[in-house]
Amino acid sequence: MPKDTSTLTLTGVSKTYPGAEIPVLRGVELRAGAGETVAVVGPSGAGKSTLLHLIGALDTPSAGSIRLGDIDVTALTGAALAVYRATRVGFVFQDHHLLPQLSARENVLLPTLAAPGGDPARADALLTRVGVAHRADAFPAQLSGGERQRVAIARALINGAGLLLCDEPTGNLDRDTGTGIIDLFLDLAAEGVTVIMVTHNLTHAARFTRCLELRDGAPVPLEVMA
Amino acid sequence: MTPWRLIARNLCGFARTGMAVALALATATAVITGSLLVGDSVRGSLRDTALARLGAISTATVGSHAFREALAGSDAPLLQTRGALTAENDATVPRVQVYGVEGRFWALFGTANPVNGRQAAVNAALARDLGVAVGDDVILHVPRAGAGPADSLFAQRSRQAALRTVRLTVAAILPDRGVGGFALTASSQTPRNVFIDLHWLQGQLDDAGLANVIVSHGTELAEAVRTHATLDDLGLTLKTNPAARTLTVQSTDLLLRRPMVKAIADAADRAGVRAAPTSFYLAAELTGAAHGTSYALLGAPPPGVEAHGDGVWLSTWSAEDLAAKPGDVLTLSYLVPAWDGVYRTETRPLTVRGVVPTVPDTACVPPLRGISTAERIDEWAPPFPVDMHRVTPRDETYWQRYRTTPKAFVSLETARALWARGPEGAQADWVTGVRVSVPAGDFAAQARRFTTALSAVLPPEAAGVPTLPVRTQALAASEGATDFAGLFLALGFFLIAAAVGLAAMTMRLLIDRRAAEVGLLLAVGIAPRTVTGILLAEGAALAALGAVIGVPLGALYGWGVVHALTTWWAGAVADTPLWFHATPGSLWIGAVSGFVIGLPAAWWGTRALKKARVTDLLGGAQALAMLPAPPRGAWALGGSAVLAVGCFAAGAAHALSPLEAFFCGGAALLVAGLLGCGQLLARALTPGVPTFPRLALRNAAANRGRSVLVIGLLACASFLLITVAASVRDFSRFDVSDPRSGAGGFTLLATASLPILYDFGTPTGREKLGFAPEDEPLFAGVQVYPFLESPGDEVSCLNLAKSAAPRLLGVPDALRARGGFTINTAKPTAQPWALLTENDAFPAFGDADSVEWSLHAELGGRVPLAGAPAPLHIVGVLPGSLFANALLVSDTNFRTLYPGISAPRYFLISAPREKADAVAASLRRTLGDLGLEVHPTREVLADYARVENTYLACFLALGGLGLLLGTLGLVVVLLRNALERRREFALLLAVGFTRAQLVRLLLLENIGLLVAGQLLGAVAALAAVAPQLGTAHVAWGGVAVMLGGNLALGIAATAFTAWPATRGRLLDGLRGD
Repeated sequence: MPKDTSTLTLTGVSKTYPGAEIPVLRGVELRAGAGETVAVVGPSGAGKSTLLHLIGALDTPSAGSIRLGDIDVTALTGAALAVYRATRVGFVFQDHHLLPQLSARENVLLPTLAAPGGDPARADALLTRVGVAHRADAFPAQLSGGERQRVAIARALINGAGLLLCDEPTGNLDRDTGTGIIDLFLDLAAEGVTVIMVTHNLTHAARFTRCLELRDGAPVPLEVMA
Repeated sequence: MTPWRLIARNLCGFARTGMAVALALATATAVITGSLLVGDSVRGSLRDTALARLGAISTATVGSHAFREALAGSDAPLLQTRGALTAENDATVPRVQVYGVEGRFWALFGTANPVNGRQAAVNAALARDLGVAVGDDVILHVPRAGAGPADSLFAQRSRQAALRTVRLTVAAILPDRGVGGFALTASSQTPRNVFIDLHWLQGQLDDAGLANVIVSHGTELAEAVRTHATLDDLGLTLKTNPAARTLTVQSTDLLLRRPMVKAIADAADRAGVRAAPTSFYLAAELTGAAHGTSYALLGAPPPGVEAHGDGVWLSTWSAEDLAAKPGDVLTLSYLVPAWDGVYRTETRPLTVRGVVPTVPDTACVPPLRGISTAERIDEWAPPFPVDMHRVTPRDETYWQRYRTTPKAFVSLETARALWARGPEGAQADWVTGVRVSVPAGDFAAQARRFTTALSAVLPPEAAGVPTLPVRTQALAASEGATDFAGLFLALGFFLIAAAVGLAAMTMRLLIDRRAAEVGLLLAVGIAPRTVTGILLAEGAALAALGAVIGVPLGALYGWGVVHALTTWWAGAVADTPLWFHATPGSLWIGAVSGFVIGLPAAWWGTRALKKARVTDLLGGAQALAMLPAPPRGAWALGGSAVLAVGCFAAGAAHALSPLEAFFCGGAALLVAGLLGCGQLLARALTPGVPTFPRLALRNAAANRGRSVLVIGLLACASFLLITVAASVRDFSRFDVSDPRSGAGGFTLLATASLPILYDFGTPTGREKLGFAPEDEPLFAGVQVYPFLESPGDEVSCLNLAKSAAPRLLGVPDALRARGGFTINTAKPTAQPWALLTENDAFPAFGDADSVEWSLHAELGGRVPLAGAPAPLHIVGVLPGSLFANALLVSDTNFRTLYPGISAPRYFLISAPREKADAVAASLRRTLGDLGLEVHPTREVLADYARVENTYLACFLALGGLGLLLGTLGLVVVLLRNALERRREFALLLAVGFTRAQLVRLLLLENIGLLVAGQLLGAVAALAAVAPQLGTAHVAWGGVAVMLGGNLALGIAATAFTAWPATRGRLLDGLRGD
């Protein structure tokens, strides 16, 4: 179970990169509670990944606010920002971004370097939870694509984050493996993890509780998928 | 699209990294090219100097004795001698080359004659040493030619008789480059020359009409000398006595040496006449039963008297004086000169074998200075003591009537038994003439036939009047004794290695960055060989670019080194003037070398990709397989460690030379350390809980080869710098009193420009030489060992020119008996000095460095010696000794090789430490005008060490530069690599790392490598030089500054560049779309 069950709230979030005339995001509104799953869909360049980066405090919005519980994410700086990234959110990327020189367990434990206090035993538990405990000492080069992604998910959760931000996590996987990953997300959501996932796969999106479609940086009316 | 177009595109696309590769290779090219140009410069400068010194001179006839000035014909005669010059400020410069010259000499240099009469022209170096200017007066001390060996009975040994002192006025100061530096010998050092009017100098030295050198711009000099040389020119005189039908051939130098005697005998055979060696000596007293006669000359029996065996034949005059008859036994007393100035009297009984008529015949006695020209015996001014009270009126009557006609006669065997001295040398046979008897026929015609035959069998070169191709010799000598190109290549080796290693790593980085591109090329069906070829071609192009950039940089580097060699590093070349020279050949070789060494670097860069799978390559460098490779080299590590321990143990137990054993041990420790680092990094891949150090270690382990290379480069640099620094010798703390040391236990070394004719090691000798009585107590406990010294080229590292005729020292028997010094011999022996007297051609010792570097020989090797019947055989080498400038042969062999040299000019002095300075001062005070230089042996060794230390300083500077380059390059490579890891950093940021933590991670990783490398090298080096640490003068401060500064620079550079590597929009790398 995640330590954090705060609600994510985005209000009028816009993003324009310096020097660019057209905003990447315009007036995005979103509210996601604990255990909710939100699929973000849209064509390439619609601002999906940017939205995730803003939520994950990897970038700052030009306008609007992002709050996770009582935390004003847009106001975070310095150490607080790092702590937020390390403890409140977990990222899963299309490319797993595992460090090749670290084993699976070590990759999972990597965020504990940024936020000391991580429990190695929890890494094994998470690896068990995502189904790759038997590969804990393997290196990324020795893992399959699905295994790598599962290790990446475990890494995202090592510090007890309640918000999982996934950027096309199945984009590089075959259908069955991708489906398995989505199953895992849904299981995690059932345990209270909020999952926000960027995807082009409408089948996967359809399995999420809500879907946010972006076009030219602006959200189109929300449609309840399930 | 063609491969060439693709290559061009690639080079443009990765121009910055490619340029880094090219610049690294350019550095290597520059060092190679520059080193070659240093060689060019040294050779070129030596050649320029040698040719400038010779002007238009091509050949020179150099006599071991004087000959007629007229022999020069239209060429230029010179009277050359060595002297000492004293200025009015009391500054004395010894070893001054004195040249009596006239207009023809100056014409060979296109210069007007600047001197006349008492005027002198000095070269700039001499003027500088003396502190004189035009118009100043100087005092010149030069030796006067004496009759016979300096230690013979008839040699004038008093200072007044043996020396000439004249006052000169400096009329001109000549530039050192050109006529001022005139020299016929091969030496890179600037001579100290004084030029005086030939005829004026002849007058001062009583050598009117004589010269001993002829210089010519042509090549016909040898033939001209051969054609026109008379017997006088060859050092012989011919006295004819038609009445007695004899010719007597004598030497102008009193004694005839064996080759001369043989040549005369051969000529007599050719001419069909008989030749018999003759001899004479002076009896102090010849005493019969009742009477005696004093100061009687004894000679060979006159023609017609067959004298063989022991005994004496008396002239009728002597028989009457002595009242002796055949069968009587007389007592012969005669003086034997000793080196210390004491004339020992020896006696011998001689039986009267016969009485011969008293016939005036002075032919068998050559002119004796101070005796022959005296009108009366009591007017004699001989060098030996004469008690005039023993001279009777009858003796005076005989002198007035018969002069030097012998009063008694002995056979040649008896003469030799009595007067010959030493197994070799001029006095070995004591032959003072050869009497040629013409029994029948036309005496004049027979005499002419004999003279012609003698000229045929005795060419000038055999008579000590060789004509030398001095220009050719100078050009050969200018090739240099040391290959400076090779030397500076060796000194700059680490710099080259660092540059090549850097190029290889940069090339590897360049190719790693393009892993995906390589994967794509392979994926679209291009053959792996073609892909590799493309990459190698790119590498070759970069190597070519590096070579093109490196050549001009090399010229700059070479110029810089030459400049350094004339300023900061002048000690390395003994202040030899150098100029920058460049030859096209060196530029080409440098460029091609730079290109060629760039190819392996390119190959190494492409090597890793061959092992990668196409699918991994398509994922880019970061996707390349990262598997925990099993640790390799455990056996090698164990072996190196065991070797290191074994070497240290053997060194500590003195089973092996401690210096060499510990150095090998240190080197083995370095290798073991590097292998250990590899093992450590391999084991660092063992899973564990991530920490910052572990993560940094992991990152280093992720590219084990690169990391070990980095550590190895820095470790080698530190190792070399410390071991080299520990090799710097400081003789200020050197114990010269140790007989096994390079000083042999001697505290002072003295060399004289002019012959010292008495032994200043004895009270009598000091008295004769004019030492103050109050100085006498200083010499208690002082021992002097005089060495005969030959002319020839200095063979120490202070002479850059190639030696054609090495200088020799004749080791006195007393020194051989005393022993001392450390001598490495081919075969172990408890008496190494005895090897010099073994029945070998010419066994010789030499300083280890001089033998190896200047003579390019080795222990057991042979060194040719111009004019010698056999080469010198190096049977022992002395490491770090006083004898760096000459080779050592036994005194006997020296006298065989140089029978004309009998006065020592080289002295080793053993003096109590507390009195050494006072003894040196007394010697300088008393014998300074003889050009005696006295130096503490510690200073002499320090002078030689200065060259070595300067080279070590060069090595340290170039090595330090290499270390700096390596460090900076490594930092650039490491951080360039860090830039390639921006996606990794982005992820770390995404999972909560701060940028400061990223910088900390990078610093830990890179500084860890820097510190590990330097630490490993330092520890291994300290172990390697442990035995030297007590005695070596290690500039620890400088080493610490160099290593610490380098480390600080590396840290600063890492920190400075780590910051931007973690800046910017790292998170863009995480985008999935």
